[in-house]
Amino acid sequence: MNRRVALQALLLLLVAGVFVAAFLNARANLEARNMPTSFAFLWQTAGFGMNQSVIPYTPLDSYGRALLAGALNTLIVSVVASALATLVGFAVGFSRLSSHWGLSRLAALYVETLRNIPLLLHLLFWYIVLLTPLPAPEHSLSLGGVLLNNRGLYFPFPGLGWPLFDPARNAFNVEGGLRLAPEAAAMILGLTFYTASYIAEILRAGVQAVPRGQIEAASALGLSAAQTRRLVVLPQALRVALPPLISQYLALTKNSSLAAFIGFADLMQVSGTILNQTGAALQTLGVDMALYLGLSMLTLALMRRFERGSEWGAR
Amino acid sequence: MVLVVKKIVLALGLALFLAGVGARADTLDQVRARGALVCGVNIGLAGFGLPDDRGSWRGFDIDYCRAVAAAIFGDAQKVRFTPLSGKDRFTALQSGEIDILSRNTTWTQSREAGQGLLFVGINYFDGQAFLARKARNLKSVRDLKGASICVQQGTTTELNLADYFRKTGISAETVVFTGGDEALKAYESGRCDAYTTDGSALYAQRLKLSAPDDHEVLAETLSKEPFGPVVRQGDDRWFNLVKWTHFALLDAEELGVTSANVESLRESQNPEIRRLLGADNDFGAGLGLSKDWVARIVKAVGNYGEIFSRNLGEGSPLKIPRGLNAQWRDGGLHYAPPVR
Repeated sequence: MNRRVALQALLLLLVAGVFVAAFLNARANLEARNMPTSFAFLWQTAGFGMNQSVIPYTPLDSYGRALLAGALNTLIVSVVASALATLVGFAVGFSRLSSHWGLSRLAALYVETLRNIPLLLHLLFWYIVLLTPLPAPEHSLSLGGVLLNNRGLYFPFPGLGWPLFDPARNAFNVEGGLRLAPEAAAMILGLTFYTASYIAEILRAGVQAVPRGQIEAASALGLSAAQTRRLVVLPQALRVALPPLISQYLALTKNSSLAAFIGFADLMQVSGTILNQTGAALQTLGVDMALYLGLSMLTLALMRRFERGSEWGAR
Repeated sequence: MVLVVKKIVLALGLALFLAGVGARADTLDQVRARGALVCGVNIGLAGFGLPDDRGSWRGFDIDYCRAVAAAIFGDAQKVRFTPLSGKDRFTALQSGEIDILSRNTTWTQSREAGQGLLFVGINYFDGQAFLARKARNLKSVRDLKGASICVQQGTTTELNLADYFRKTGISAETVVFTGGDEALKAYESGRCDAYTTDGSALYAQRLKLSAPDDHEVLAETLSKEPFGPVVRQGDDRWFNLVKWTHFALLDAEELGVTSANVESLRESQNPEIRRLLGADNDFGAGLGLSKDWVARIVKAVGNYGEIFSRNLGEGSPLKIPRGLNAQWRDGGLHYAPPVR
């Protein structure tokens, strides 16, 4: 027994030792190359611009604030895409289970096509699809004060005023209003339709995991088909589907890091610029890892709460 | 076990020692003994260094390597090219793997003071520039007030842009992409009014557009990106040889010596031309070269103007104007010390 404890302690010491050695080695090497070794750069002036941010950000703000703005962009896109992917995924999943032959085949086609295309292609596809047909700002499509062009969708918004293209004020872009940029729209569409193909399958697996006897018992009790689905099948299906569903939300958040390819200012894109400017590669990536981990833990905590609070989680 | 470790450590130490010695030896002697110059070049940048359809390297930076080979061997073909990524280029030079780095590399203080490198001079004056639609009729970057600008993520590209807007007090939207192709595509589809990256790359990317003639590179640049060939510190003779090959190319252009007339000009009565071509005194010996070293260079690759025109200028698809890269007499910045 004592020997085992000693061995365990030795192993622990060894692992800790390797980490300490790696840390000291990294620091010594960084110092030898005159590279930054601290996190002080987070408080320095960032100097670069960002086209979309939910918090006020100017180039005069700090690197830390730039990272925060990027992380919030990641968060917003992930939350919106997760919600939409759940809606689309459930719709496709139920369609696939439907007794209507055409609908079911169509849903199967959706799943098999979309989940076999790399996400990067989804994003590039949506970006080009959005940009190509839309008109330039001077020929914006207009409907009830909402303007649409290849720079985005502009809504009237209290405090931001009505969107307007006025060549005298700005010869290039619409001014005013709340704007959804094509980069953000392409991110949301790409992530939604890609993740929905997985969610559809997860839902199908959950429904099919409900024993046939349950449905037969429900009809024997006189429940209608709709009542059976709502009261018997869905609660049991979701209990099976919830853990893999959570994995999909986590995967979606991490997948959003491909944003830099289509010009969306997410956490990774902002980090890329910071890394180029400061040379603090280890620190920047460390902050990124911590932020992604934080986002994942937050998602997990919320989902656990939901699982426990709902009747589906109870066994 | 301990013995094995000792052996490995010894072998490593020896290897390091030898590598150190190798790096310190006389580069010119090594090149002569090897029978070829080893030149570090770009993996592929149109106009600067790119293999053609028969696998033969062509470009502005390539011709600089060929000029040095011609000065040493009288044969511009005695060069081996090592394609290098931006990340590996300095290590390859520091370790002695290559003799010269000729790869659109920006001359900066930290690269000389901190990394043991020496830039022999500036052979191309580059800077961050803008591509925009001709129909917009922009006179200056300032006219992009309120516009959307696509940017390729670079070491300082986004910073230069934001600095410029801060300085001039105007605002514009920047859309940042990791890849140049994606940024160019977004610009072409109308998402942006302008696209910015280093001017040298911009001219090459312009040719990828479906209608290149509808787009122009604005004359104004935001940053100083002086390119030049690089050598290791600690070998002054080699440094001088490469530096004077560069100056000889410029002097030849200034004096009107071209690959076409270099043979006949050996009989010229102009004393400056006679000195340059080694008709009177021997100016090559001090560099470890022959008397007719400049004639050899010009015969093989032409003068600076010919190299520029063939690879980047009017004689190439890129059609880059001489601009800052013109001779000082023509309003450019190239000014080479005389051979005398």
